[in-house]
Amino acid sequence: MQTVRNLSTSNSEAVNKKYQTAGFIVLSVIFLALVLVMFLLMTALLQTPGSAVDRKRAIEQRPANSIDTLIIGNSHAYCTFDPAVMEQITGKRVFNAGMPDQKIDIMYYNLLETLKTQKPDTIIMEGFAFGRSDSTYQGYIADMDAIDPGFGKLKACLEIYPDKYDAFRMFASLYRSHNNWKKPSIIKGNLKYLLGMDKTDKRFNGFYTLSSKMSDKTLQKYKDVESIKFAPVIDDYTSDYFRRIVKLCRERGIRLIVTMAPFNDVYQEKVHYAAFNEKLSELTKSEGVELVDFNMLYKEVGIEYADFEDAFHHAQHMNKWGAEKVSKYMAEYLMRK
Amino acid sequence: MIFNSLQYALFISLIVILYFILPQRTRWIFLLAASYFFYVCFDARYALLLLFSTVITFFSALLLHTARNQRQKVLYFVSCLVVNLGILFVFKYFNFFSETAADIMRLLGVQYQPLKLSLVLPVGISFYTFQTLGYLIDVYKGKSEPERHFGKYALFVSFFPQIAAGPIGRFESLRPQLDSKHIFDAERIRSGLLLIGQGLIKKLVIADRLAVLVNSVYDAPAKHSGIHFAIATVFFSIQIYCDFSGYTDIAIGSARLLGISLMENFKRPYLGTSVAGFWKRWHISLTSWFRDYLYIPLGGNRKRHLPNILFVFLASGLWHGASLTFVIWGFLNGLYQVLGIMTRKYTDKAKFLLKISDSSILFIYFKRLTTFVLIAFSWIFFRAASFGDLKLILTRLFTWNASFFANFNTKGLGMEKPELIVSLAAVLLLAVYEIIQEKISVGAVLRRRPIAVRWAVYMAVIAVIILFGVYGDANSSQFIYFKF
Repeated sequence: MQTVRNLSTSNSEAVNKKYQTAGFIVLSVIFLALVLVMFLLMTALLQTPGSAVDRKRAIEQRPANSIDTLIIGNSHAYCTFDPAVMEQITGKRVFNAGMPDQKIDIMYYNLLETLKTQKPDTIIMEGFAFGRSDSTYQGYIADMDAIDPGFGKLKACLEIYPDKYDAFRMFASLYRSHNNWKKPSIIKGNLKYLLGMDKTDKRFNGFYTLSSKMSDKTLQKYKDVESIKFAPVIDDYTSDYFRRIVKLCRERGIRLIVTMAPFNDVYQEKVHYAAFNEKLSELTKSEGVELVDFNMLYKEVGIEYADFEDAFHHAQHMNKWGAEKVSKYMAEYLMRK
Repeated sequence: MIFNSLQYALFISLIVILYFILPQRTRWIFLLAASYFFYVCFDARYALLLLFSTVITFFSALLLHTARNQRQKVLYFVSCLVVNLGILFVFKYFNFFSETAADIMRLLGVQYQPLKLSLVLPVGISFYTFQTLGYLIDVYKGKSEPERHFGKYALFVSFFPQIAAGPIGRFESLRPQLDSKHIFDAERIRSGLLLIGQGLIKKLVIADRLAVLVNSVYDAPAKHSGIHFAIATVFFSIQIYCDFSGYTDIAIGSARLLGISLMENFKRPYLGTSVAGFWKRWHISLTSWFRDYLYIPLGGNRKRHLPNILFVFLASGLWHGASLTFVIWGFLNGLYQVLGIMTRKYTDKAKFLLKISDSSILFIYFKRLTTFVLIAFSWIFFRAASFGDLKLILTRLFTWNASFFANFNTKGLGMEKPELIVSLAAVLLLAVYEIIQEKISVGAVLRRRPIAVRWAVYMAVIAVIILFGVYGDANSSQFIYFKF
């Protein structure tokens, strides 16, 4: 009798233990889900405002399918193509989604994200983005902040960065921005946006106006060229991402145009532009993509080397007058073809 | 793979899950493999050194047990001692003694270039050497039976939560736990995780943030004056406590997840009311090691009491680092205690005359404050990067910079104002927490609260670590005691 009672007690203890363990696992899952929500909330509250976040918010606030022409690229894109000018001529809704230092790998994933809500009929891709994201540079990584956290983003980060730590840094913007607790203005701004109290300027179209002229300091500004560390590269890696973009556009019936924004003669020499241009022409031709290289169209656009002070902010980026000329030409090109 | 890294978070999660999935008989093998993997992550080459030390002490203990006579026993014991301490000497002390010898010879008029070895100090060498020597001494004295299973002994030496910086385990308490059956206990897991969280707050939120100011002052002593050193020294006193006890919390918490209890290493040391009291609460596993294996064999407080204290603290200083600054630090701590004992009858008399009761709260806090000041002063010797820096700091320590308060600027201290505010708030909260802990267990109180309250506390711990922790780009910092 005693043995039976003991057996029954030990059985019920085992069952209790099992239930306790199961309960612990269930509670742990719920707790982890709550922690995840807290992570997302903190990410949203602490994210550093900047180009990627601004553009993400601008796109978020636009109604679905409200962009007809989408411009993608890096600073060469957002300093060169003024959507307002292009809209006037084409009558279409244009948005410039260029981000600082953006390379083609991240650009591809940002494009995928944008295409979740937008269905442009034309994409203008500025070709200076041909390059690989370098793990040592914060600017590249921050461009990924335009994508919401999720498995897609995680997959993209792991694909871009072979180093798992760099991939993690890119994925978890909170890891980079948690120190923003020291800047109440950032938290306040993010909170306002989250509560819908601070709408990003609806007129924001992604164009970044650079208004200074080179004037008498032209020569000095030319010296900027010396500090250029990056040149566009067409290799297997960048070509692969380009082909993915081409495929994506074909699948969705989007017209893709590759452009090269103008930059000065010294700069061209520095980045071995002739060799790059040859490769780019070959690549676009082989993929059947239109190429509009503004460095070959100075005369047509109305820019001359001697005229740099009216068109360029400095050696590589256009000022607003230069951007106006290029944007007009681009818009007319879109209308023509 | 340091404790305050994501790699470790993944590592320990995986280890705990697999540990409880695996059958009992294979768990020790799994833990041994995990421990060596953990150690190899620091430097694969030194895993061989760890293995060598394990082999030597394992077989020496067996030989000691089978020795035919006392002479043979002593021979085996001394040989093993020489080999183990020899390894420690080569890796940790050779350059120090070689340079010191050259300095002494230079004073005698003989100049030569001292021989120096370019060796990286293996992680945890001082800790595991002392752990194995403690075991060997226990076997030699007949307090412990020698371990006959090499694998399980290797696990005792290399157990990953404690290999890098302790607590220095005792064979009789740790060894039986390593292969006894541990069932999954949700309450124990919760308490282990909470302890890990507490350790991370101490390390990432307090220690590493205070380190910003401390490093800025101590790394450029020529630029700073008395008040800066005073602030930096108080901050360093908190930093080193939070750094080391934070590490220990994570180590004990990690072991607890596996059902293994490690020795308590810190017991709110700054609440000690004397220097001796401080040392009963600070790095307990090392202090008790010195007490059991050095102080008592030397005669303890029965004979040569005061010289024994000085000798033990000199040895403790040398254990911490091969530098004159550490030796002075150890000596100073010994000296405080010797002076305390020598003047006890006068202080007792003064208390009697002034009618001061030992149980008076005011007097307890007065003693805590004076103890803190004395200990903080000794940390200057510990933190100074070199003997040259130490001399400079001591000469500038009592200089008064009158414009400091008039033109108060935290940037001069290497810290932004919000960081200083958070640091001070964290230190204050820590002090309150420790005072409460001294009377009641906060963990036990929390366990009795409803789930919503408990979860709110857990979430707050996570949020504080994420928000105020010093981590991210170029910010991952090693634990101070890893270099010992």
